[in-house]
Amino acid sequence: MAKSDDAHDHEGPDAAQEQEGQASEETVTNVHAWREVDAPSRALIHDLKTAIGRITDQIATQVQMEVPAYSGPAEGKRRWLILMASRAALGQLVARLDGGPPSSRKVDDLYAKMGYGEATDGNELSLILSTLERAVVLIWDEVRALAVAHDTSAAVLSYLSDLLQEELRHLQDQVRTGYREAQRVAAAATVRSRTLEALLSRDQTALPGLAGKAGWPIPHNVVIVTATHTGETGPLGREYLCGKGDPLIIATAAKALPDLVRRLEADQAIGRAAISWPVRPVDAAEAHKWAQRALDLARRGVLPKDKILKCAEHRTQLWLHSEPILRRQLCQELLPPLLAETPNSREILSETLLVWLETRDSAPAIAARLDVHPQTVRYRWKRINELFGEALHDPEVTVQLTMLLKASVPMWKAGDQSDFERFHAEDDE
Amino acid sequence: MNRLPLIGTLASASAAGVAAIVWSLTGAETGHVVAIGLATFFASSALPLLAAETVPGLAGVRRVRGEGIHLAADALPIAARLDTVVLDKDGTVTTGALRVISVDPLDPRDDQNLRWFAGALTHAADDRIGRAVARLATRGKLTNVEVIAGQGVRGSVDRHPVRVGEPQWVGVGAAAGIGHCVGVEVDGRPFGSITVGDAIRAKAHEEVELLRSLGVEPILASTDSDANTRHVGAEVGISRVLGFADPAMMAAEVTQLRGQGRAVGYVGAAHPCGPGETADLAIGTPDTSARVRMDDLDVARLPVLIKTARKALAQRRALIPTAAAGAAVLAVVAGVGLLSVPIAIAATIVWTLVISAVAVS
Repeated sequence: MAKSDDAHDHEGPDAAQEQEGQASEETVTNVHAWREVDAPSRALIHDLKTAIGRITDQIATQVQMEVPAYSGPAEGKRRWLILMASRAALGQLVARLDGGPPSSRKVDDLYAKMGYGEATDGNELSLILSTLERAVVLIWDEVRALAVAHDTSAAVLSYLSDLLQEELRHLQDQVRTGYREAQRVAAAATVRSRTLEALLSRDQTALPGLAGKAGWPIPHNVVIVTATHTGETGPLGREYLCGKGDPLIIATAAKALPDLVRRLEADQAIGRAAISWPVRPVDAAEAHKWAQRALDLARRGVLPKDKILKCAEHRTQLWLHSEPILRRQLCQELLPPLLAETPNSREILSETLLVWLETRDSAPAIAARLDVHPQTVRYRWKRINELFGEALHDPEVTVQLTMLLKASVPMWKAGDQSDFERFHAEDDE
Repeated sequence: MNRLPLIGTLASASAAGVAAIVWSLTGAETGHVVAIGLATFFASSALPLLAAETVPGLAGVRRVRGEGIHLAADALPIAARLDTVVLDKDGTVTTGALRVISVDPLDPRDDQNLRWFAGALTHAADDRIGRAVARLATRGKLTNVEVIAGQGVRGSVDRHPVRVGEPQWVGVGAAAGIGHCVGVEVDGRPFGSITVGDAIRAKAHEEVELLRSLGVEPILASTDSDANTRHVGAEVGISRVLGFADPAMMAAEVTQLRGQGRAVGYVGAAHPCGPGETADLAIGTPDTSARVRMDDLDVARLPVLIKTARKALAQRRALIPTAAAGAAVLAVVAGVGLLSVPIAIAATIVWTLVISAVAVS
């Protein structure tokens, strides 16, 4: 989904191809007219066809040796690309000599995509254009040698040279088209990315302008999603604003949420996604913070490790964990009797105390909630009274204890021992 | 081998011969002489004697079977003359099980907690002490349970680590006195101790008195400590006790008693070369090869056995002369020619049935 805009716009080179096609058609007609006057022999065409493999090998070797940006191993992907491009171009040339069509949609697409790729790789356009010229020089050397060997006339030689130059210009046009399309897509993605940044910032003065440019109507209520991912995520429509990076950030109108949830659930690349509840766009930064916190709490085992986390279902935990330092200090001040217990005892007693604080139920009722025997609860209650004494009758302390345990017990259960270790470290000091 | 039927048959034949000779001397016809001889033979048959000899024993065996005591008829005379019984403590005057006799928490407020945690955990221990302690509580949610041979059991009850076992293993001081003491630890802290002792049968004292009234002296023996054995003996009214007694010691005691001319029965578990081997009568449970096997070793079954055996013996002693006298009367009546052969046979059968009916009643 991070590449959604790119992917969406990837059809660009093909569409642009249509426009370029008309321009090259005129020149092709002239060459055809000339061909009727004097044409290369069948033997020359045959020899040129059989030499394609050798010539493309030479081109690949030469280009990789002379252009550092395209260097790479002999069996590498880059060499394979150069070979493929050279073979396609030479094949097209031979096909034209053999009476074939003046251009091939397939070859044109290939060169447009090469231009697109150069732009996304961050290379200058001139690099690939000059490399094409260099390759054409190599091809011409080979063609000329073959023509001489076949005792070809000067007129045919001139025809071949013009044809080759014409082919070069045509392919360079395709590369330019792809390159420009990639630049356009990148610019659009930048605008959408800046729109998302503006939405998530405290100062949203630039938001309306950017949203307009991005073609993203600012919704009445917005939902912010943060998601961890393990690779390329699936494409999303233009109604979603997507950031890049990990975790991924997505903003969308509240009404588009059900569809987004379905997509996230189905997307194998999504690890876990936290979804804020709908907020006004002005509160999007807060919604982003909640979603981030939900992801963090799920990672730490405080929240369930579900693939889709709805922040609305975990508001209390999100709130209680908004001040981690405060929780930590309160823990060291209020819970030393519990922290001095063994981890097992601490966990058991704290969860019992929390249930009692929340429900004030009888021992059998608490036992039913904790799935233990009522006598076990009575024993724990006796221990809790031994540990906290009269403090349990102070309303202020019980409120603090309730919040503190509600925040801390899930952490402890998830294996977070930091409170315990801190207590013992301070004790040792 | 019982020679009574043979003697009876010889006597019948003699009586028939005498009757036939006397009638032939009177000049009676041969056919009449033969008929009187046959009638006399059948009238003086040994059948009633045989019934008097065997039916009381068989009736006694059948009677005690209804009381959960299984034996062959030939064991009845031995049971009848027993004058001493050596009782293995476990299962005879006690139920064989143990019961909690004392719960001693270190903090008195932990009494119920001690009962709960120890009781819940010991549901996992398959021994007599464990079974006794387990009755203190229902089975809890147990995890990581481990029974350590000779020490006790440890595990978690509702996630609280608990140990129940030998006081020194748990680190709890043992309570002095009778019974077996186990220590209890919860959450790594000593919690207290529980003492279990023998569960004495409700009517053991009465049954022991009944035995004594039958002239049978009970002796209580046990592998348990002398103090525990004496305590149980005192509870059930047995003053002669033998504590710390292994099977060999019990066997030696039985041999010594027999040497003093006593008829000794042993009631208890079977042991190779144990007291069951040296006693006059071994009384055990159905899974043993003892001559008398009882559904359980409850001391209350012994008076029933002994009384029934003695009654069967007394019946037999009384019925044999009666059966013989009746047969003699019938022989005389047949000998004087008052009974035909069929009537003599019928009379003998009727007399046999009468003797059997008296024995069964």
